Amino acid sequence: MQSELSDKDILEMFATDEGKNFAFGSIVKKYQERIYWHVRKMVLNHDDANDLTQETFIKVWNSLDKFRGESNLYTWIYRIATNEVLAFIEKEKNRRNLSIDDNVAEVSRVLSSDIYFDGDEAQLKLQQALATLPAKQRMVFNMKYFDDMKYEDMSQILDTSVGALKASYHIAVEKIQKFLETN
Amino acid sequence: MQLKQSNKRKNKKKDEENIMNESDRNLKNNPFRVPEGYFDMLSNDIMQKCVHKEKAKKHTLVELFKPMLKFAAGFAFLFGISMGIMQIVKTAKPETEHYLSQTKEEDAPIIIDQKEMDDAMKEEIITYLVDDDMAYIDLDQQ
Repeated sequence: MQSELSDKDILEMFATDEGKNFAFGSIVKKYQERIYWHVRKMVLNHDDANDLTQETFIKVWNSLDKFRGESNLYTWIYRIATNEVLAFIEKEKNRRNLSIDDNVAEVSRVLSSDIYFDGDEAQLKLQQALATLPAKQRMVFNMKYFDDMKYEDMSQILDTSVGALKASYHIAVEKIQKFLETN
Repeated sequence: MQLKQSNKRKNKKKDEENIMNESDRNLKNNPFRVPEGYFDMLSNDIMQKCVHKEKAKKHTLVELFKPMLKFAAGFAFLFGISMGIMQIVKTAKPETEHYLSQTKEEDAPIIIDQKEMDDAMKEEIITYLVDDDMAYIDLDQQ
């Protein structure tokens, strides 16, 4: 069985003409699933998640030679994906101009008819509760609750202090709890 | 004061645990699915888009510069030709002037006047016709 290359090895290989494609292929294989799920939990829809994941890796390909290694490759790719997702959500929000209630109803409608959503009633309710949160707060919640990510890594990805992230997560939990109690 | 803060923190943590435990133990499980074989397809799609795009970009750059290269080559050719002609003229001029200054009038090439030549030819033709008993006017009318 072939062992997975370290990020350092991949980056060194990417810097050479002959190893560039192979190195990039290794990055895609190593991170595509994590990035896809990071995106999917935010946009919910598979097609949108697919497009945004591809866009993320295209951006990685185009800017990897400028990557200075000041952060982990993993957090750097996550940051690109996060920016893609937040920009997409903002664009959709401006285009559709839905209220919070409309947003909840929309999530319910979309997920109920999505063949790639296998969640039960409680999971659907949690998704509805998440739809009431601002995009960045929802992302903080997803990264902590579902992915169990360290606050330090989240801080690098979201460019926010650890303290602010902890506060954001607690507020998100309170809001979700309130939603679940009243709905 | 510190105890109050500590209790507050503990309660918060308890709330976080409760929210998920009370609702469903499986709440943390991923409720989403992807089409079968999706991730194999995804890496292929990404690789194709990136690597092909790069190749297309290189190709496009060559295509973009092709007309400019053609133009530059044409310009260089014309410039070369012009410079060559100018060089020839420049070197030939003093030689010609030198030749003319050295040449005497009687040695100079005979310059034939077209009118004189035409008249001479006409006379020759008339002589020929007279010899053959034909009028010049007949020939002219034919």
